[in-house]
Amino acid sequence: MKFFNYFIFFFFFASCDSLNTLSIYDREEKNIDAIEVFEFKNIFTESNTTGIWGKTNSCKEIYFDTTNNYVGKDHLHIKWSKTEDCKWLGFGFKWGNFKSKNLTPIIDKSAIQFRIRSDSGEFFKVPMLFALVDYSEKQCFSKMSYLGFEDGIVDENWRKITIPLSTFKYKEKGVNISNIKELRIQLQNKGNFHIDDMKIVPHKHHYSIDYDLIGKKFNSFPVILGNEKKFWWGVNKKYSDNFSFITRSKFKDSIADSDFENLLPELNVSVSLLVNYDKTNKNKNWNLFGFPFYKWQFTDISKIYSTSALYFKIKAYEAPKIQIFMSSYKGKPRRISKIIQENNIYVIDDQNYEYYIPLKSFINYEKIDWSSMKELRFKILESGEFEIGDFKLIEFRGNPQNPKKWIKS
Amino acid sequence: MKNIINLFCFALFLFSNSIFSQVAKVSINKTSNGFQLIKNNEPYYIKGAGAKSNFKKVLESGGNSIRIWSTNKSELLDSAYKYNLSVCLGIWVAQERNGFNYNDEYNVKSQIELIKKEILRLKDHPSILLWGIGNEVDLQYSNFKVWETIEEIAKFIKKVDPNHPTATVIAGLDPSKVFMIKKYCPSIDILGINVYGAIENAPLNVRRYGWNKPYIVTEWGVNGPFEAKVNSWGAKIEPTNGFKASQRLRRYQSIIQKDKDLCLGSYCFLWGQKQESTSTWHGMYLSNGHPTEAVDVMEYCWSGNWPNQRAPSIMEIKLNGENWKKNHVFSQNEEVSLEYYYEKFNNDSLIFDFQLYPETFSNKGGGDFQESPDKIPFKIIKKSENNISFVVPNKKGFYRVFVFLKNNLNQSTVANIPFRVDGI
Repeated sequence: MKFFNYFIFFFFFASCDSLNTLSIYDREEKNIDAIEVFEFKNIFTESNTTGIWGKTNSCKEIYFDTTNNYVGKDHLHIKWSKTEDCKWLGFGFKWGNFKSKNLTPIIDKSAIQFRIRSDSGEFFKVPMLFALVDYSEKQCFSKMSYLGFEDGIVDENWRKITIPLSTFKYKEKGVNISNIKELRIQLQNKGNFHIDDMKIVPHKHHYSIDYDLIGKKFNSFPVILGNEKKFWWGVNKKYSDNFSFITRSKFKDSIADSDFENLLPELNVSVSLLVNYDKTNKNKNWNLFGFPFYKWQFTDISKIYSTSALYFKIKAYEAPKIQIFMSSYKGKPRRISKIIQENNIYVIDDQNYEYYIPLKSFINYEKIDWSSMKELRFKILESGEFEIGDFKLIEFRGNPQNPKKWIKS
Repeated sequence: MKNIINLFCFALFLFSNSIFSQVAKVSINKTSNGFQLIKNNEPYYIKGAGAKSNFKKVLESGGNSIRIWSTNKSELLDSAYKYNLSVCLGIWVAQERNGFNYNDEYNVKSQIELIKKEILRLKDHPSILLWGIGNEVDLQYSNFKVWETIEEIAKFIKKVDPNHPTATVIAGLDPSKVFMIKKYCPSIDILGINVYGAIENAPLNVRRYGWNKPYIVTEWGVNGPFEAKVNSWGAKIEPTNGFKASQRLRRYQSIIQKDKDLCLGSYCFLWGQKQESTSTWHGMYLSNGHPTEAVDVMEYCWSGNWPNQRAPSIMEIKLNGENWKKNHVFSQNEEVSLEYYYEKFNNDSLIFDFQLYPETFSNKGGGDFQESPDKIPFKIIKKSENNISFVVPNKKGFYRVFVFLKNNLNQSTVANIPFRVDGI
């Protein structure tokens, strides 16, 4: 009996192996071309089959012209001149009798193509805006870009124009590209053109759209600042002797001697600046210098700014008075500042000072856009001679108004 | 027969040569202290105006150049040529703040190709002095790729047009912009700076920020609406024409003219009229085409002489005895006194005009188009030489009253002051 059970079990498995999938209908393994199956390829060929709305008024004249057509028995002739009387000037194609059109499958591989000619003259621009309109009346626009002028010109001959669907800014405008109602043409300034044979055609171009901006994000400490001379401004011996980069820094403790020597020539690194500011001397009266947070790119320190302090060292007989500005590429205010107070300065010995300026101690720090920071700017407020350098953002978790307490602890 | 052919060839040669020789050959000469613009082998200092009209007056006032912002109206080049004015020809490069995406290669490439066509079309026009590639493309921008477009255009100009230097025009000086242009646009010869209030430090900042080529002040004048003080309801305070005239004079003489080392000249803004917060802010002409005292100032700056007859000059304007520092708030239909103090100069008689407009509150920047408001009719009760009494509107709202003053030659001066009408 037990043997019989094994036999049944074995038979069941063996039969499973020989089971084949059956389909009710014969399946056709074929790569379906989205444009080929797109039902609404024809936008305008002639008045009989495809209509328009928004015909003639005092600023525009639109009619079906029967002479010199490109295809069919007529074409569109549009004359317009925008005046104060017509705030909006344009017309629309009924395109598939206003049926909903899903452009999603074809948006990146097709274009609106048509023929255009003028009555006289040569044109490299035509003042028309094309709008795809969805069923919630949202519109996205494109225009006749020069790359779409097949012959590089619009003149009295029928010329082919191509507008890739991907050039319509539907994402930015929130247009539902899967539910398009119609195509509109907005007329600008003035013009007199003939249009015919407008349709959707396969089209691919090799130009891409990049969505990134050049920028740098910092999430950890320390953030080394101002360590490449080429990004600094305000240091120019031709006009003022007051600032000069020094290759022999007195602040070598943060970089080993050997590294320091190696770094300088290759990376153009400066760890310090000699300041000799004299407001009464014409050759020494520049009192501002600055450098970017990171190579003049958008610098995002939004994740770390609240626990950051700007740190630098100064060697001087007396700690100089300095005002610091930070600026952002975006937002309001663009710039915040702070005059350094006594409690920002930690005295190492009688000539060496460490400066700690918590970013939260800057006036209006909560309003600036920390995700697109641009620049640090230093204004020397009193005449004096000193060396300044080793700029960085460090972690700071103390009271922004009393950094000395945190430093001591 | 051979002689006739030879003669024809010779005539053709002369004809083509005469056309060719009309193209100005412009270059930049490096001097011991800085730079100098050279036009047809002669040093050329730009005494220019940002202008689309009134070219004859530029010439009569001692100017020698105009700046236009795009190649759209190339007939302006012919007009300039007619008046022997050179042209800083602007090439309009789309601005990110108006929706152009410099990450979109298709549109970027399309724009460049179209511009190349324009350059080839116009490069041999005899009035062209230099190319101004882009105007304030950096204003409120975030995509630095725009500088690649500027460079590609400049590089193309270098290739096809050896006769004219290239400039790009930025909205105010900034170290990041200087860095970007130096790094990404090596084919740019001249920095064009549009600078208003910040002109005070422009020569210093050009040097401080490390620009090491020459510059032109491509737009300058009085402080712009974007730099103006506002009252409690946000209406911008426009200085009187008289104040603006003396500011222009000082800025030209003590800032622009002084920096002969790096500055190749300037274009005052605007030799015409436009609505920018008000209809009279930047325009050196009024909307009716009459010149203001700013035109006289430029004549003095360029030629060293005042015109024989000068425009009058309004120095101050007050409502009920108080200037703009007070917020002027009135009740509906209240009777108000408007006072104005002016310099008559050598004019025998003057004509006054008073106009009332609604406040516009435009926040558009960079010279973008602003719509002009319509005039509001209002009742003047009393009129004397230095003041009028008028009735404010019976509708609550924000208004601005203007005083216009002109001489028999239509040389004009203007001042305005904003006020608010509240309920009774």
